[in-house]
Amino acid sequence: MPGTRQIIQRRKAVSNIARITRTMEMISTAKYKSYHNKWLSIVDFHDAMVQLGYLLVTAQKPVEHPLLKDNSSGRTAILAIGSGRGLCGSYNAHIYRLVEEHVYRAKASGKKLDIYVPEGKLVHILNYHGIAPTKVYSDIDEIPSDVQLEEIAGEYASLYMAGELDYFGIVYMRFYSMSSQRAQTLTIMPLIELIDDLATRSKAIWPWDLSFEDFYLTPPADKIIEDIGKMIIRSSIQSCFMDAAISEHVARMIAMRNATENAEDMIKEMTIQYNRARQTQITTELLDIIGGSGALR
Amino acid sequence: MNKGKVIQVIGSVFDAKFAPEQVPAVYNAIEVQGNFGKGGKGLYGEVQQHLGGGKVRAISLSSTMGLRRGLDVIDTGSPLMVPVGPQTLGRVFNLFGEPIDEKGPVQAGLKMPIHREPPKLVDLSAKTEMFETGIKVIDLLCPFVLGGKTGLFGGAGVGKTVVVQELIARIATKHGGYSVFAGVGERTREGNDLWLEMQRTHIGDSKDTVLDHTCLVFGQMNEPPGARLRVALTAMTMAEYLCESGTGNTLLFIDNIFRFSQAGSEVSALLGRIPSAVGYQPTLATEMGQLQERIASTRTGAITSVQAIYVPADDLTAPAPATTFAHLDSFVVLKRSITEKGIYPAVDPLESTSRILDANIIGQEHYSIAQTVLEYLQRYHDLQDIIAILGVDELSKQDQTTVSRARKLERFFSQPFLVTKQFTGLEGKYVSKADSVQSCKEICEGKWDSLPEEAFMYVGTVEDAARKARTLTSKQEKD
Repeated sequence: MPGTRQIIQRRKAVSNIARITRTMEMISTAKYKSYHNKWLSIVDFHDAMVQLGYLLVTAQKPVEHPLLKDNSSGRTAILAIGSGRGLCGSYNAHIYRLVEEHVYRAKASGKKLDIYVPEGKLVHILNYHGIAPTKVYSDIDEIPSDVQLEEIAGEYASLYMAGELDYFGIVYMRFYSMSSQRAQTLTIMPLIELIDDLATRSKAIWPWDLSFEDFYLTPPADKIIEDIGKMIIRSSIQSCFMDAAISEHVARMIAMRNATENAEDMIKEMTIQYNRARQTQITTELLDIIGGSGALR
Repeated sequence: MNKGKVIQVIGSVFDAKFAPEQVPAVYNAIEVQGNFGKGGKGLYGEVQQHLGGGKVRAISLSSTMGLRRGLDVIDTGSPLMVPVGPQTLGRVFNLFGEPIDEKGPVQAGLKMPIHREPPKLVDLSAKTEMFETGIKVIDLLCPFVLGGKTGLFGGAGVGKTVVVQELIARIATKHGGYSVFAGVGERTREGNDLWLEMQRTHIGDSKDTVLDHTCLVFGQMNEPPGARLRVALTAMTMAEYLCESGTGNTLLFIDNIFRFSQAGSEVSALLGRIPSAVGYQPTLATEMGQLQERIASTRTGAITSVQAIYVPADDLTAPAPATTFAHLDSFVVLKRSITEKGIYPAVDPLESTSRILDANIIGQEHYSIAQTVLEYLQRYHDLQDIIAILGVDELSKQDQTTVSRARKLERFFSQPFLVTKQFTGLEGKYVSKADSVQSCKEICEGKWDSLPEEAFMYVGTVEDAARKARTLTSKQEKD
């Protein structure tokens, strides 16, 4: 049986942990709230963007552009967005499982897979499993700035347009609502797939529900498609990062709430243990004195 | 004849007065004349102290009901004598060496005093050899010593008696020599169960039952403290004789040695000794030493003993278990937290150990595997608080692997017992030491990482676990 002092020490340690986890929960709650508004506006913008893209690619007069064509270079890439820090439950484990699937699929189809990851916990997990990421973005802070987005999106787009990349997807935790987030892969390129995919998402107002007059484009479609395509890619990457960030905070909120509750249970348990140990000690000491004096009498 | 009179009765201790020049020696048995108990026999006491003026203080060895001042007391002239030799085998005795199995009197040619000197240091054998039990966790982490002393520590209801009975079933049925069982202050029912079980079980393929090679001595809970204090010595004396008479290795099972200390503490204050820590007798260590020193391996033969030790309030540092620790070669600690997980035998791998867990005795392979297993379990133990608060997901990947292997090892250390077949419905498993070592090695190396944890519960070797995993998955598919 541990001594009273050890129990007190342990209880102190646990209550310190509880204090930290409680604070982390509050921070994540606050961040979640502030991100939520941002998220809504990004979703709106993104939807509008995609609608435009949809109209362009489904126009009567087909548009030709390398971004819209399929490639067959045998090279694929994914951007896997894990959490920046730990303490968010099984968030990274879910992301990792999807990445693993991509690795497996690439191996099965004999394609080369490049994995890009922002700095964070996921990098360690990948390294542990012997998967070396091609590039680690070390300067991204939850959501990349516009300059960084430009740089990232530009890199993939130009690779694709040069015909050196067949596929580019983002593995991230999609945010549906406070109570539901799921890890999934969003195909960014081929662009057609992305536009198709996004246009059927429930959040978007389906373009075929809108009635359009015939429209003319100036400058013509094949002139603007590249800029719009890049913009869609950029905004998709941004919205994925947004989803990932907001999901991470939700995950952390839940994980930390559970941790705090567990710690509190433990403190309760240890308090009982401590009281019992203290009482036993007092009884033993008393008995020794009483027994001793009784025997001497 | 040396006669005296009872002059004082204090609980289970009484004083008698003899002629000053004829005081009975310390440890002599004295008989109070009268009709005590069922058979109308005299009441025996053992002299503990001389009070001066011809007065002696004695512990009563049976119930003091009916004892009063003025009764005549006779000095028998020697310590209590009990029958020894091959005639004692197959029989059940009380501490006086009287048969209590109603099979008639014992025709023993020889009687020996229950108090004897322990063997001399020069006579002790220095050979150290491992004693295989077929229980995985014991063979791997706290191997028994042939001719050594093993203690089974455990609080109330963690399964000490079951482990002792299992060891009897495992060792005595394979063992060539004789066994002695001492029931000290435990439940009478268990003694009866054991006796019946021994009549049913045969040794190896021979016609002899285990009982034919065993002698049982009981002084159970219902007996007065004097009886519980001396019954272990009676069994000890019988075991010593069997061992010395050249029959080779003798097994001595004691359930429960703590009751010996407890009985001592019950009479200690009555004898006028000042209580020591937690109310135990000040002579606790001496008493324990006198008994334990007699359990020894000499050149003529070895006594291998297995002792159950009750741990009051699950506190191993209490004086009674603590004094026993020093005498043992191998400690098997049974933990309540492990029984709560449903893992039996509830051996705590981190607290149990053995003197021979040493590469020079058990071999390098066994030693290093045991250390690796302990490392895994220790790491798991250290991480337990973090897991309890934050969950397994927050651990690094490496720690997650460690934890999952440690949990598998923990479950793998459960094992179906021969004696619990009627409770669990599982056939008892004997796993050789080599298999245990190999299985644990493979688990630590990660060969079986893919199996679910439940597959490791109550199996023999790790191959059995793999087989169990397959039946588990097929059952799931059916559902």
